[in-house]
Amino acid sequence: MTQRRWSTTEVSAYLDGQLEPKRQAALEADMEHNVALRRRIEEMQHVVSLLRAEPLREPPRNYLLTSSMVAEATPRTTKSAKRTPLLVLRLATSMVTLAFVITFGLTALQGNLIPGMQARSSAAPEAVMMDQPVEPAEPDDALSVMVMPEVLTDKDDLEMPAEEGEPEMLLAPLPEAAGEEDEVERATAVESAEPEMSVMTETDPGDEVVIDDVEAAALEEPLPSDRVDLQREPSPEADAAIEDGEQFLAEDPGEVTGEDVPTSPVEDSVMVVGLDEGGLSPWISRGLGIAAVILAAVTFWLTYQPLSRRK
Amino acid sequence: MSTYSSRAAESLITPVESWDEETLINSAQRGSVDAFNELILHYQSQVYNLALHIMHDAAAADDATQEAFISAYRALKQFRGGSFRAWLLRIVTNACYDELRRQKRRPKVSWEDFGDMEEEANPHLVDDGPRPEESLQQRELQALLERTIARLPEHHRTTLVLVDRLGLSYEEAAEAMDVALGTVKSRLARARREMQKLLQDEQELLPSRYRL
Repeated sequence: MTQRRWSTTEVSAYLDGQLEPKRQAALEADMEHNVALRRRIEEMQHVVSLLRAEPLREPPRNYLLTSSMVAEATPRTTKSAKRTPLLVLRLATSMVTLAFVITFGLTALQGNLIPGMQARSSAAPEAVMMDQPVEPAEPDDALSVMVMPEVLTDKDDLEMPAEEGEPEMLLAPLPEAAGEEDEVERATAVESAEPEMSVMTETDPGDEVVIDDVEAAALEEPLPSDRVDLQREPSPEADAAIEDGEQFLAEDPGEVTGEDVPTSPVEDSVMVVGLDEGGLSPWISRGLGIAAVILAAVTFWLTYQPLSRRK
Repeated sequence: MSTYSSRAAESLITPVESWDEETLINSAQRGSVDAFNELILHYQSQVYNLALHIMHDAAAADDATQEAFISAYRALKQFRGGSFRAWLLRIVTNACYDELRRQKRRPKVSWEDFGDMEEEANPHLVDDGPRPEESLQQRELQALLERTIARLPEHHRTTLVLVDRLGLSYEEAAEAMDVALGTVKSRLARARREMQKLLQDEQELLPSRYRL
């Protein structure tokens, strides 16, 4: 009698009926004579029976899914994918809208509220402020008087009525940017050959401009060479502009006193706002407005489109 | 003839024909949560027990089971036929393996602690009063089997549970573990032999009728 060795895998597979028919027949034939093999099979079958006979544990609860669980589960994949682009889009819309409001406001200011005053640039004030002496400037200095010393020396010219309740504005001419080295900074800030430099006086209505001879003489002194020179040589254009300024001031009911008028070079170097000849182009604000509307529409559509699809 | 195998298989086959599984799957794929809940009710015991045997922890098994059903619902449209049970058990098997891999980075709980936790988490095992002797023996046997199975290597344990505890066929077990049929055969044979040795060592704890 030949005893064949049967592997554990074959014995195990035989118990489950997974042995090939030929091998199964051979094993069963061998079992009739092979007591050891029969015992191996019985022992393994005992283990299998034990495992299969024992009931499974009851789960501690039901794992039924609810609508809320499904609702939480379903958008989780789409939410993360859509959240980032939507946030970026919303942020872009907000930024463009904000830019539109700012540019629109600036455009309206330069066009309507402050006639004759041109838009500021961010670079120009620095150039002037660097040259300002230690004396601190008041906040209103940003719009305070910038009066040419030569102009202010004429007492009669300054004795003009000022408009009551409103700061006076004086249109001071600027010289043409013509090659003088000490006027380079101003020339870069002022692009126009004939800009309308707006200046405002901090005068109380009713005050009179009283400048004595000493002050007038001081005003006539030239500015230090290292300063930004806002003075210029008298020219026919400047005179014409001065006349314009006089006309402007003449419309004001109030008067300008000598105390309120800047009489020193320090006060003369009031804020020179960065002026652009054309100011802010209205096309910028228009373009930003159109972009804001388009972005808002796209954002709205992307936000509410999934909802409408669900319905 | 293979009398052992035929009897064992007959006792384990789930009467799927008594309920229309395919219809429920189709309905669930179209978004019916109720249909999917029917499937859950049918398979939750097997899913939970598989998770429990792999994880050795009732709370972790509970979490893994719930997560597996949610994952299955999400991925239901990817199910292309075949054994739904094997597909479901594969999801929970992968979820448990992932969790075990994460737990390997943490300090392990000793076996004694595990036993205590099991009893606390499963009121069926808690001896909170006098009970019939047979019922007590039953609970002890169940606890012994679970402890013995837990001592098997991971893949052997899973194969043994799938085939001998949950009653999957070799093909289903291969699908659930994503391995070849021959691998299932060899793993199952080794698992059974190891189980046999371990139970022989614990023979005095076995009820007399179950002693080897």
